[in-house]
Amino acid sequence: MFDTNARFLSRTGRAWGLLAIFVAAGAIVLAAPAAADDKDKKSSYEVTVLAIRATKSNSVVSGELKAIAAQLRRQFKYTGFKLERKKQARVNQGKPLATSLVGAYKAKITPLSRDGNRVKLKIEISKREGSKDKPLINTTVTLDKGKYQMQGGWKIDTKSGDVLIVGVAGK
Amino acid sequence: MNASKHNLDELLTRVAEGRLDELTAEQVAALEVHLNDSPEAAAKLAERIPTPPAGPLAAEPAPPTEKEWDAVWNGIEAGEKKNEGEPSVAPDGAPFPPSHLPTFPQAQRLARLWRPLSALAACVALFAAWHFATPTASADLEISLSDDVVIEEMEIFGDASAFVAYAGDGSGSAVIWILEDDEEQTGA
Repeated sequence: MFDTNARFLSRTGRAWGLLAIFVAAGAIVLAAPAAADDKDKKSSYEVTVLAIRATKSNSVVSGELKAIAAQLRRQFKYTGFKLERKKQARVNQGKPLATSLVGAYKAKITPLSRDGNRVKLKIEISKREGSKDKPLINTTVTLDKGKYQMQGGWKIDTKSGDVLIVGVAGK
Repeated sequence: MNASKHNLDELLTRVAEGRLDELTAEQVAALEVHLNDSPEAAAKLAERIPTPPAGPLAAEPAPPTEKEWDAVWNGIEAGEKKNEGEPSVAPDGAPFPPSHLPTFPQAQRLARLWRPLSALAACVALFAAWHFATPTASADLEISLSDDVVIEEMEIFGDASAFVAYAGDGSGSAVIWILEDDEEQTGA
């Protein structure tokens, strides 16, 4: 009986030891890439591009846009706002994030600098016509980190009158 | 009246024999009225219906014997004495000879040591997870317009024109709106 007890104690000790080793190893495995990721975050920017379809034919608003729908409605005649595409990627300073929007429209966002809570972005919107990208507008804006600046008005569908709004954020 | 009483007796007999399914709704109602009116008949019926035998769960377990109680108390006392460094006592009350006592200090020390160590490791893991965790997706899901947009440069191509619309709610959020050449008026 006491041999059994001693063996149990020994096994218990070993089990606790193994558990501790696993936990410690897990912490190291988790912490190492997270630390590397943190370093990457400091030298790169997270850029997000939204392609929104604004329409007068309905008043449906995508869930993600509900918070800003009132502001958009106040500024424009459109009633419905549908999030057609969301592109989020991490890019280095001066390197563009290129993405297609809706139809033939494309966007290229280049983070230029970061200062405290502000970020400066270069936004280029173009439209594919034949084999070439025709530039529509190039802007350089400074805005709050992680918050959006909107620009739009390009017709997506001439029949319905739906237009494209592009939202851009960086951090 | 007698016929009715005879009828009720017959119905009560059926109830007592457990043949309830043979009764019609009217007969059940008549019986109910009769039993409510006559406590004597109700008591007689209760006597005639056998009580179901108690199931195995209903049976009370036998209380522990004196010997079992002694063994339990001896075990408790043995544990107390062991903590005081006194010889251990077997469940039957007889002390064990010292040679039979467990002497595995290493195993006991390990068991004592690994618990706080593993708790410490768990704390380290929690701290690491908290410290290096990426922000939750909820912050990313929330879309809000920048309150302060500065348009540093703007270049429009082709025949389109543009205007900057401010929110008008006191915030500095601005939307750049394009008017294409074939468009009359899009913005508000």
